[in-house]
Amino acid sequence: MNALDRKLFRDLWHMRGQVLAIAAVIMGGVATMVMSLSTYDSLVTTRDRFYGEYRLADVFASLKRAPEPVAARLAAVPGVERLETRVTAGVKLEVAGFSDPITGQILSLPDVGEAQLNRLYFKRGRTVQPWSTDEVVLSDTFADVHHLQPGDTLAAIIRGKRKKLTVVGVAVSPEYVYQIAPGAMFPDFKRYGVLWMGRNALGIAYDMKGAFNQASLTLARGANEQDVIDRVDAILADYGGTGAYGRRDQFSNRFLSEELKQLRTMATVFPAIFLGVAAFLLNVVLSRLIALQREQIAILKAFGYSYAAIGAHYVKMVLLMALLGVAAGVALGAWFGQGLSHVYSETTFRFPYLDYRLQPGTVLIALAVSALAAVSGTLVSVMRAVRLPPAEGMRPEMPASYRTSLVERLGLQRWLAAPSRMILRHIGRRPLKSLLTVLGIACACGLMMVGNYQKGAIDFMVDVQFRQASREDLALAFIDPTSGRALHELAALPGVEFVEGYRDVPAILRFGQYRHRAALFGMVANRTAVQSFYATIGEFILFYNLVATVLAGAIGFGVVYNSARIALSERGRELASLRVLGFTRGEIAYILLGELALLTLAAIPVGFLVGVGLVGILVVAFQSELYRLPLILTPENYAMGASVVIVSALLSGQALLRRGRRFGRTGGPRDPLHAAGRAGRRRRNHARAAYRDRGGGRQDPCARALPRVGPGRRLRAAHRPQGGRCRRRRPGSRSDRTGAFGRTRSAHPRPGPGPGQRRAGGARGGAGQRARRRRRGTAGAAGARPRGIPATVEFRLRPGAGYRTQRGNPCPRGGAGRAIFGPGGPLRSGKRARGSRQHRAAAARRRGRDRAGEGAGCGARPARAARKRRGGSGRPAPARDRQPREPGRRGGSAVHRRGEDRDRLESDSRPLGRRPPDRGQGARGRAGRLYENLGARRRGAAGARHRRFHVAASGVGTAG
Amino acid sequence: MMARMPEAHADAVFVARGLTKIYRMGEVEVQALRGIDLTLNRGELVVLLGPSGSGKSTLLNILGGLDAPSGGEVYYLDHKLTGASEAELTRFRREHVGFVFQFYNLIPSLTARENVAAVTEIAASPMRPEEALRLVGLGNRLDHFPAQLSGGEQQRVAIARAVAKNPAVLLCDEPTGALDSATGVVVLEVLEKVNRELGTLTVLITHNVGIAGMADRVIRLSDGQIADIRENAEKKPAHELAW
Ligand SMILES: Nc1ncnc2c1ncn2[C@@H]1O[C@H](COP(=O)(O)OP(=O)(O)OP(=O)(O)O)[C@@H](O)[C@H]1O
Ligand SMILES: [Mg+2]
Repeated sequence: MNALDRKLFRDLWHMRGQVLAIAAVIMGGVATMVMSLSTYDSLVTTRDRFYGEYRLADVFASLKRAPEPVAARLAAVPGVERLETRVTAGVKLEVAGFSDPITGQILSLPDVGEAQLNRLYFKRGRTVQPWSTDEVVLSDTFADVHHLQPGDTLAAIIRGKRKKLTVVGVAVSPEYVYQIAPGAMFPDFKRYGVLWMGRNALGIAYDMKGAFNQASLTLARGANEQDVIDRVDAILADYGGTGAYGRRDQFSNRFLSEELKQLRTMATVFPAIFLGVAAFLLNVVLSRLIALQREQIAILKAFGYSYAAIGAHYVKMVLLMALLGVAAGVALGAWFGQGLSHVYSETTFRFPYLDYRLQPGTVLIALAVSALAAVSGTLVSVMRAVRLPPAEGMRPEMPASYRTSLVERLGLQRWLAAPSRMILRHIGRRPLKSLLTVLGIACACGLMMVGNYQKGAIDFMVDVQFRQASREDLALAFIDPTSGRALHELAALPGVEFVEGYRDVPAILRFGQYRHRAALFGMVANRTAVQSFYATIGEFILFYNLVATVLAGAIGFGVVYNSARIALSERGRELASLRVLGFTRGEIAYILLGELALLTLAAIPVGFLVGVGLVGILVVAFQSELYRLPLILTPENYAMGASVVIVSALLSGQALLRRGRRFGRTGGPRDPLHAAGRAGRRRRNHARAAYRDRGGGRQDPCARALPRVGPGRRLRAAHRPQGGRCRRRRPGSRSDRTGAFGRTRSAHPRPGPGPGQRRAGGARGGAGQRARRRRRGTAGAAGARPRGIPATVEFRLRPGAGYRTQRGNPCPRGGAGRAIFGPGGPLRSGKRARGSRQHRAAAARRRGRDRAGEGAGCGARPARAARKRRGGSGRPAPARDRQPREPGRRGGSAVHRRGEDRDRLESDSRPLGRRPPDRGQGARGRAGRLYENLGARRRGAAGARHRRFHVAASGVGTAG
Repeated sequence: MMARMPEAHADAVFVARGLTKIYRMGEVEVQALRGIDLTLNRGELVVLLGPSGSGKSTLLNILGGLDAPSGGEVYYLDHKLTGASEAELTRFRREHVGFVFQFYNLIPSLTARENVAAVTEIAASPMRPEEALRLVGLGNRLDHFPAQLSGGEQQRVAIARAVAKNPAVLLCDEPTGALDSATGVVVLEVLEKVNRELGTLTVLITHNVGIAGMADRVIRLSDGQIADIRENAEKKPAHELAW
């Protein structure tokens, strides 16, 4: 190693604090980049491999029902390579030991031969035996969370009939990489499952023998997807086709694509911020270093080092710092990436295999980008070093030129003592640098806000979705659209407070040549959903919070510590002389830290702006058709942002003061950056140790009692609490409390009212309260909910309406641990079969209440009209005024004639409920069945009487 | 650049003709040199005397290729320094010139040995760094950092660094300026020894008339001009000097 390189390493070692601070910032950028890019790569490779090996279809078409020969016509469409038909249906599942309702999608597997498209990857077990009637294959997510193994059984309610099914295999499908119940916001593996079953058995169960209701096909090379889709649609039009769609619109794939897009965004936005800050820091540090090394540079030149060699020397220095950051960043990024991939494969995307792979290309990109940022940030300084005339370097540096600060020019100097004036002038001397410092610190604040933003935004979304929009406690989905009478029946159920029905209608939006499948939208859930939702994404939130905190901390400390060190280096001599002149240490510290404090304080509001800006960028960048994050920043966001700045400033100040103390004593070395400190430090440490041994200083009482280890050192009490005092930990005091608290929290996200309150709540719900609820309900039903006949009904349990779980544990809140009935979801039918009851009813409704010409799904009507309509449609008397009824009594009132269903609009059907086998009551009516469904799950307890549901009827076809 | 000064002495190393240097600082112009004609010969030990601000350092910097004159010409052997490119000047300094400065200007992060090595590494036919340091009497302080050396020791390291590459010219700007007289004498002895043993043309700037005794020639500068040039009939050895 030549002498210049030695100098390089020693210089770096000497500035190690700053080097580390800068490397940490670069690390932040590289880590996010590597994390997102490698995860992206891993997901893309895995996806492509899985899609290819398991033959995900290119085009999917759903329809009401078509006889099998139609398949031949479809297969004959030019451009179709391979076509396969299926029977698929929504299904309600029951798993022993899990009392919540589970919805699922059941798909057929061919009885003859193997599936050619959308094949299954079997994790365990085998496929169903041809012609078997009760064998099913389960999706792995569902099987895993319920610990279902081949050989286990579960029950399905198929077309109202309960059927026992035997699990024979557990599989992953390329079609369901992202498994989410239609209309749900986030996956819920416990309450949504995908099953596969023999074609024949399923066909019989769903009256699809010799027929199909879904076709998937692959395209021949060079085929035009849109052409094929158009032709397929034309053929299927007569069979209730709901419009074929390509992979792009395939639900699971679309989510995956969106997520991938976000990863890409993440791979650019965050690293850009970090590397920008790093470039600035490098610039500050290097220009200071070069100023300090003027004479060294001059001497090297005097002895014949070429300008290029000098430039290379400093570029190398910069690159080494960057390299350190890149190395740490790649390591951290790979770790984060693994974590993220893990979180993904656990919570969202189910691939049979997800090999995390860190491609060399990713590392190279990270290296190149960081090096570029580092070098471009320091180019000016390096060039200054290169251009420094050798003769010039021999002359002592001119005193820096100062100006009076703006404050003083405004005539305010009377109120400023000399130290304060020094602070202001120093800041004002290099306004750009001060500004950039402020910006850098502000970035830390902003990043922290971004990291925490997601939590706030998601809280907000949950609040809107689950507490404001979907205020219901229970939701029902009907197999087929149902008359509004069902609402009244539901409203009449004991305990029902409010009923609201709505219709989902699918649509294809066209604009010029663009078409867009507007899917969606049925919502639903209750607190259980909130819980499961948090359980699902909690890991994500936690993960991102961790990442953000690490990174924001890195930036904050990097910037503040560096500016502090530079300030000390630039002014060390000046301050030392002041000390000699009789300034106290406090005054010196004030001058030194005052500047830092001022910049830090100025940075906080700027940081808030940066945070809002960054979040804005993110919101726009992450915005997808599937969802959009709201730009909501909570006070906590701001608080977190500010605190990261303040904490890093305090830490830096601390570090600085420790260094600065030396100046006070010795009068200051000539070159603070190069004050060879080792010997001195050793001496000081000895002195300090001796002092401590004598019992001096503020000492930890625990430490004094502890044995000496090594020269001058004591074992520090590891568990010393922050107060500085040593407190013995009492068993069961702190940790136990946390434990109990944790348990409480996890069991009951929002502490529910006690039994007494519950009753009081029940008695209170007067007319005013109901009206309030109704209004909120109306407002909550905002958005473009299509009007028409209710296909989904939402329930709202009055807060007091507790019930017992099957095990007999009372639930304090209506919803906790309870049901979701999967609702709407993208309806696959665009048409309403003419002449059906549904159609007539809809027409009547339109005539009666709607403005003519408003197509389904696009009307937003004023709430007033909606309220009027509610009145007109005979809103049921509040449930609590009625006597609780026996479940069976109203059974016949809304007879559900199965025969009629078939020619009706095809919806995403969720079977309503089941006939409780143990009761044998012949409830046939829709409401009756519903009631049984509810009642069966709430039997035991004096349930029915206490439980008064408030069924929200307000939102039928309304929009706020 | 290869044009040789016709009238130059055969032994001439540096030939300067009509050198002027003007520093411009905004409105103000400072005439640092006002027409210097000078010839420096092989193996000479020349002392530059003059009051502060008389232009000694400026002249030395121009001779060493650290700075360019505003007017006039300088030749080193048959190379014309005036008008040479930066790369040519760098090569000139690398191959032929050793510098010693008033404030030593050692690289603080390198040991004595490494400070010397930094120069020998890029030189054509250098001594070994240890050898150079032994020459200045610091053979036992090879691995000490500048911060661990006294001022005189540091200056001797600087001299070792300057002579280690066997330069044809040694340019010293107030090498004893920051030293007490006893230490200064040690440093001067080293310079004298190098001049004598290696035959290096040595130019030595000082404020100190006492030092002039050890020179072959004493050039007096005043206000940017050569006031007089005096040949020392008999050189005093450095250890006899005192101030
Ligand atoms: N870079 C510069 N910019 C402006 N003026 C300069 C510069 N360098 C030298 N001068 C001026 O040129 C004149 C000669 O300076 P020089 O350094 O050569 O003097 P000197 O004889 O070496 O003085 P000293 O004995 O104090 O070192 C002085 O008046 C000085 O102010
Ligand atoms: Mg001088």
